[in-house]
Amino acid sequence: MSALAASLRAVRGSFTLDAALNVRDGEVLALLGPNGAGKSTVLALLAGLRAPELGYVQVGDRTLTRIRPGERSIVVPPEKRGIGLLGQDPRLFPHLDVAANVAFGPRSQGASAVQAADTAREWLERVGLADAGGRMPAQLSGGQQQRAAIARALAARPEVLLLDEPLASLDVQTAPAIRELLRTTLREAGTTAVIVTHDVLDAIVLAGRTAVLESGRIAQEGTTAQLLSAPTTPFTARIAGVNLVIGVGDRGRVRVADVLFSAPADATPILDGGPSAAVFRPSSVIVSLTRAEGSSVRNQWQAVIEALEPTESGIRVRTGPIPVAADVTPATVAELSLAVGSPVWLAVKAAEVAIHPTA
Amino acid sequence: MPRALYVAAALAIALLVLPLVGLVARVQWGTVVTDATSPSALSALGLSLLTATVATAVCLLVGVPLALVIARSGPRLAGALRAVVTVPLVLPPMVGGIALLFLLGRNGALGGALTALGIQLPFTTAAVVIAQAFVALPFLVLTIEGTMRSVGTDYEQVAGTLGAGRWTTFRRVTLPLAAPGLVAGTVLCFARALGEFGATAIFAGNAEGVTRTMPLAIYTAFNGAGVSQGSAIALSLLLLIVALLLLVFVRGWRPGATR
Repeated sequence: MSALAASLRAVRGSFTLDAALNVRDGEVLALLGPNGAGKSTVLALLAGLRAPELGYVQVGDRTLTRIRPGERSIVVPPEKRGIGLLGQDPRLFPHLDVAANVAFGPRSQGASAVQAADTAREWLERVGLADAGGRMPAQLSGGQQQRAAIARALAARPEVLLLDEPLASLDVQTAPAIRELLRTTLREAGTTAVIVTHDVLDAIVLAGRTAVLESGRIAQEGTTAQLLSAPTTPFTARIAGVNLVIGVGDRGRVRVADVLFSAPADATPILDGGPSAAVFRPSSVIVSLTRAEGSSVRNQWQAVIEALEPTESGIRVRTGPIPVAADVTPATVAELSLAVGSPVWLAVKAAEVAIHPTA
Repeated sequence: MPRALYVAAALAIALLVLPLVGLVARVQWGTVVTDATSPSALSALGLSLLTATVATAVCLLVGVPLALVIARSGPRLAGALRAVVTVPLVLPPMVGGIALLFLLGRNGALGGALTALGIQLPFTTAAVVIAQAFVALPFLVLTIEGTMRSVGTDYEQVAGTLGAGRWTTFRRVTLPLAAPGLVAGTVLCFARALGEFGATAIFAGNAEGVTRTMPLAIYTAFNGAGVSQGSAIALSLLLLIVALLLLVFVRGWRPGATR
């Protein structure tokens, strides 16, 4: 059994990390979050490269880290934790050929040279580098280097593998193949894994469950599908490609400043006065210069354009003071002479709005 | 770049090269082989190679760990340690020799205890090695430390997460990655040990076959005691050739680790 359980509190300057993680044996957990949320700190604490101020890390029935006041601290050094780390930079040892890189883990753990070479050959085959064993890392492309790094990390048979933005340094042509390789190899090896990423696609493809880390705290956690369909933080909403406005419950609606957001009658009930969110797609937002008349448009408010950004299908209009994005066609922008600073009316049909309580 | 700087640069090259040309011009080619292979010359050369090799080995043994300690220290401790290492570098070697004599001489702080144990260091071949190690160690430490610092600890961390213990990581990652610095530092250290004169003269003396290394033999010959000036020039030529060979070795060595 190599389930991972951790509760970590670490302070660095004004930043405080306070997060608990539980990953079942063989499960892959995605840790999603904006830059500076503390994702890399979590990995450093799990890998034993740093010690927390308070907390524990447990893999199976082994305690790897335990810091409690009045007790002797336990911090098992990285090489004895059985926790592997695959970063965004492959960091293949430049002085060893690819096969020796992959054999490094088994060899360090006491395998004979012959055994280690066999393991390396096997893993290189699995990552599609069967013929590259004799080459030096610098002779490989970026994608091939990352393949070799995956082989090296898994050949060391870690109980838990930590992946730190493993696709971030790859170009868009290479990333999908490596993502797929990670998916299959992690599944086949049955490795318990935590993958840190800012790309929601990594979470969807690789992880069964996702935790969102924001400002050092777990802001939302659940299956990746749940998270994307019902985001409760602005970050999750942004990665899910939807608008999320946070307000308080007001007779089944969400009040944000003096605007009321209504949803269809069968929406999730929310508490009066409780923190709640309204979620809708940028494409559902209608932009006009005057207030629309009619009974079906209850969700309507005045806004000011803060930015215009090109998208694949048109133009995204970012507005304030309630942060909402609207997708419009270039024709609309021209017709209405939309520019940064323009006052506009925004509207969204109740049928397009989902509301739910937030943490 | 202002033109005048080229003139200055040419002067610098002249300052470095012309004396050596002058030396080679004075070589009496008819007798140079006999001069350089006279028994006293060969004894000095053998002693120099032996002591410089041992001194370099000693420097590697203690200097590599020191370089690693400095490279892995915080800026304050590293700065302090580097200053300590640099002192023998900027100190006149003669002063180093006197300091060694005061520490390890018969009445020295440590020498007294050694004498009580029946160990006499000054004016022995061991004293030559100590004097050479004293002046050469900074070159080795500072060169290797620079490489180790620039390589950083990333690869060592990777090795740790792959299950490699500290010794394994040191042997299979830290040292190979520092190889360019190790080679350069070792060569510099050996060259400095080979040319060492001042500290050796004070602390080890000038006894033929025991402490008279090449530089001391050249000095002795040049002053006309024992051997001729011709053999001083021949010995200098020999030392120059050894230095050039070392240089070629460093240049010709391509660091496989940084490919």
